[in-house]
Amino acid sequence: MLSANPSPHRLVTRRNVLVNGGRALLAVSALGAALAACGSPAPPAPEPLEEQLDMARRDNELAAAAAKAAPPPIAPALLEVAAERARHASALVEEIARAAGTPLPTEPATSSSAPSATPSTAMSEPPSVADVTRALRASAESAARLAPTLSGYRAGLVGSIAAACTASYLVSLPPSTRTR
Amino acid sequence: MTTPQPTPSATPDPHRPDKPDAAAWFDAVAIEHATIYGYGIVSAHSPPDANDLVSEALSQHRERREAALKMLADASAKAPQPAAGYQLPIAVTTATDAGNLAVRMETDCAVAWRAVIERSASEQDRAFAVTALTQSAVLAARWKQVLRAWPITTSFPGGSE
Repeated sequence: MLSANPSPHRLVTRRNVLVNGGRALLAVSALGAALAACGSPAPPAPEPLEEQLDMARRDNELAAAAAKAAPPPIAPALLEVAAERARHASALVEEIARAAGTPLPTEPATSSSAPSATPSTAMSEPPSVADVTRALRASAESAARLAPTLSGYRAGLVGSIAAACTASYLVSLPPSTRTR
Repeated sequence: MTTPQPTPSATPDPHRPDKPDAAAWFDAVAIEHATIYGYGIVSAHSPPDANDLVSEALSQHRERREAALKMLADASAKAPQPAAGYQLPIAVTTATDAGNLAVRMETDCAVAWRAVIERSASEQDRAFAVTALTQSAVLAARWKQVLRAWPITTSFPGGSE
């Protein structure tokens, strides 16, 4: 395609070739990797949603593991928490991919709730309701801090996640209100 | 929603600003006006054991409306007036109707405040709206608990994901 503006990549590469052929080879391969990754010469800014995604996945696993050991009255609430955190993870994966301009990854956003592998909770004691409440509270606070610093759709998404986690730990999990 | 029209956005209010962020604030305050009105109806039809929830919800919405009106005044932005009366979206004759109306009002508030989060240009405004969205989500869950509905929470309060 014809373009009035010479590509900045070509300028850099050509200069590198003229100045130092050996280093230019490295520069070219690094440039190729950068181009393949994002098509932009600037290094990508850190994605603030990644931490939210990690927390959503951890809460999902924690709540699913707690549900297995929990007494029947509280198990459905823990499973609901696990399902909601899984939906949060999916929405975050989608938004991270959209912002980066990359296709959606093919693996699921969270581990399935199959009873076998729970890597982060593979200890003797299953997590308690209190553990899930603590984790949700930390996630809610983190999302509530982050959301106002974002803008547009992602600010709304993280705001909704903060609201959902807060409603879960304040209303769904406490035993006093649950048995009303 | 307890507005003169089925949805607040369909209300042809000539004072509603055109700018998206100002319009979102205008809509959110209009919904707070309607919700405060609606909680009067909820209160009238709620059993005594829901009194605490009714008064807590009402005072939260009142405080938020006053704070939002002050923020709009400080920014010299337009604020909606409360309507003389509101048409209820459902007939309220029982305690269950009252609970359903409360859930519906909190859900509408959540939608309005999420729109403010997405459209506001200032971090302070977005922080206010995140708190409002969260409080409405918590109140909606508490009302669903009173109604013995399941599940009592939603994954994306105020959102359509």
